[in-house]
Amino acid sequence: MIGKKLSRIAKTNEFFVLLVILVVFFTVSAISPVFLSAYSLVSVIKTAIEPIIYAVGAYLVILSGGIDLTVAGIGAFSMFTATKIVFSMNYEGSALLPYLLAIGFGAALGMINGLLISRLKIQPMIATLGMNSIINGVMLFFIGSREISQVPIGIQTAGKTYVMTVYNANGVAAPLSTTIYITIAVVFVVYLLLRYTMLGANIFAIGGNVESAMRAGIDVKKTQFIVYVLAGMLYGLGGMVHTITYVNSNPMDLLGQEMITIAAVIIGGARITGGHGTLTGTVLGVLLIQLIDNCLNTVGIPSFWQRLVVGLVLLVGTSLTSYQALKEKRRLHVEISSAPISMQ
Amino acid sequence: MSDVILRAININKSFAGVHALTDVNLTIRKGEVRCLIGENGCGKSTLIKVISGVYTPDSGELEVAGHKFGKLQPDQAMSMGIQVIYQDFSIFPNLTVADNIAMNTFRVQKKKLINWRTIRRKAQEALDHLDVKIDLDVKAEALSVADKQIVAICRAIIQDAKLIIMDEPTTALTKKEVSSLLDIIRQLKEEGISVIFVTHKLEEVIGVTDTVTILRNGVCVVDGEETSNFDANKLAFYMTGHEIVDEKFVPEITNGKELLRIEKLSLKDGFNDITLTVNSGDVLGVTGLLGSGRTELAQCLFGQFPATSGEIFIEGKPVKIRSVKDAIRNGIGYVPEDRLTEGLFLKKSIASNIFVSVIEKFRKALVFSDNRSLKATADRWVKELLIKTPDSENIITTLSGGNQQRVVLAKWLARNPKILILNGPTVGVDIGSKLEIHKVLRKLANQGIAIIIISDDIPEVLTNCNKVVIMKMGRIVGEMDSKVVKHEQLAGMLA
Repeated sequence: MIGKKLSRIAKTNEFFVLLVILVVFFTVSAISPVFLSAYSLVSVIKTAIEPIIYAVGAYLVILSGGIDLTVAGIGAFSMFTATKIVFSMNYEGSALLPYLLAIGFGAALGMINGLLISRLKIQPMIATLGMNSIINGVMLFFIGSREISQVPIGIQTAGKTYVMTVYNANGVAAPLSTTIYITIAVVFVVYLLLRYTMLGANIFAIGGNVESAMRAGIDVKKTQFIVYVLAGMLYGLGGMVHTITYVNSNPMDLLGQEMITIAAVIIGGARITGGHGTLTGTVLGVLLIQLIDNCLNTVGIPSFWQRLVVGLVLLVGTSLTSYQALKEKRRLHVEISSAPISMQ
Repeated sequence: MSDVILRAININKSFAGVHALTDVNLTIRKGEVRCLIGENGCGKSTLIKVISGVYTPDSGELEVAGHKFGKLQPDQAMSMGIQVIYQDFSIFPNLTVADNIAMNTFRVQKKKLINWRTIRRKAQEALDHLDVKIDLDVKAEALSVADKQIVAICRAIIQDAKLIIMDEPTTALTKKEVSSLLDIIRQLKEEGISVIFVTHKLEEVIGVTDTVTILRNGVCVVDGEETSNFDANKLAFYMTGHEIVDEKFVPEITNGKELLRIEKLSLKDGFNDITLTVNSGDVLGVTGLLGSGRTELAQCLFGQFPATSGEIFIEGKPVKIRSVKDAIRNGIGYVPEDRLTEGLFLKKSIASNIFVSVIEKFRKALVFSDNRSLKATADRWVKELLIKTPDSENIITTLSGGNQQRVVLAKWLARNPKILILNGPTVGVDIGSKLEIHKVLRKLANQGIAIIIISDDIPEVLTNCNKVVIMKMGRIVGEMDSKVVKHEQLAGMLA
């Protein structure tokens, strides 16, 4: 029984990603021994705080059988507008209000996505592509795109409270921000949602087979709508975490975030066709990408190579699954093609 | 009477002025196994959808367990114990067996939270109840068709089904799987669950059902009579409205020239050392069981899997077939086994499905494809093959199974092939359409096309082919004249 369970775990995509993470970590440690340190670990984790929040949102959407290209648009719009509002009202309270504002903007934009996709039946890719353009356009035109570097005091304090700080051999600090609690909370809540609520089960169901879902009496439209709203809220939250981390609100920072986010979700084992993939996989996918980024820095390769390596990981990773599926299909094909044609 | 589960009274339903159902009555009693048969397009599926609340009838009443409904909602129907098992089983491929079986009960009860222990327990109980063993933690996509069906039946049972409607449940099952399905149906019957069994396979009807309802053109021609009063011929008569005579095919072209000859053709993991000849005007039957290599042979000749060794001659000239393109260039047409996935573009119109194979011909002459002459070609074949549609511009999925099969046929005929290979040409097709398809094939053979029918439907092979080849484990084990060989003899050689 335990053996069976173990072999099942060993076959999962999450296990594979974890294995790759360990291999990368120890290979780089072997090349440059300084890497094997608490400093590196904390560096990787702290850069993953923000992208994990986006990825969880994108994972929900992909799980439901959709796709969302508004990650960067909603994230940037929400954080920037929220910061601008608290800034212009000379707000001096805690970071709670900017957080709530950003989540609210994210929810509102997610609602538009949800309506376009569930009610008007626009293909998710087209709907969110259009929305992302519109959001960026609105931001540039009506709000202006100049970064806000003089952020309110609440955001500054939030950005400078740390769980712990570790140093490397040269005394360079790697502080771990308290925003990690937000990421942990997000992952935990979404885990509970998917595992123990009917809504979660319905998200899996519509991603698996829409037709069957309708026959089972699931309100497909409502489920889709909720998914995009939740995703929007998470992008808004992620955006605010960005502003708080860098004590600076620059919409340009998030440019292209949607692609790297989707890549992380897919590397984590979610299928682009929906219904498959786990939250653990998504978190591991983000960690792997951040780890690679960090390693490249350590080994002294400029960070713009990160994109290339992420692309490689994505393609190699998906080729492996695709190759396995192909092998499986070929095996099945032999069985199917030799099944009796008729019983008469 | 109190033991009536379902009564449908004078149901009428029409679509765009076409009557799909006319004054149909249906009464199902507790524990009754009713067979619902009829040709494609006779109104079977419409009736099922009315009963399950998917369609609202134009007039008429439904009475479920004593309650009258003018209009029944799908969730009402489910909570009244009416469960439909569709041909695709409505399975969620990405979820585990346990989820697939038990999740719906939570939905019906409008619960917000999931209790995994209850799900597993309920699912296990349902499986134990039917005395089958399926791993609860396996994802449904990994199951065989038969196991998927059992999962769907379990799901219906634990939702307190009183009436289970099975839509063509045996189409994709092997003989053994069919018999275990029939055992399950008998068990359900003993427990007082009624079953409506929709099928087009007559011998199954006689084996398992108590009573039979036959629909023809939306009218109920046999209303719940005892199945024991019927035999296959009588059923076929009521379904089609005319006597069915199976006439043996005798080729009109007796000295046709050789069109296809293969010598010592082999495909790794497929078949070995196959040698055969097909002449103009021949209908060759290739038959064999599971894994006999019959499908691989067809796919190899059509270039899907290039042969590993051996030679192919077309009209006496050696040719190389390394791709589908090669096969088409050499005048070979192929109507695949799974017409829905392999042969058709499901989202396109009937016309575009027909001319997709000839569009190059038209493009050569014109810079832009000439839509009018394309449509004319399509319309000609729609007429020739009696494809039932008001307009060839309609989407292909509006057609019934038999008519879809004819579109695939039309697609290849539009190219004027020399050799036409058909894999299970009448799988999932009702008797009437089956005969039509056979008639078309005979006509084509008599026009000089060489036809190869791959099928394990022995009567089909015997009546429609003049030569029969039997394959077993990738080899030809017998070759005979269909005039001489008897049904039992052939069946014996297959096993």
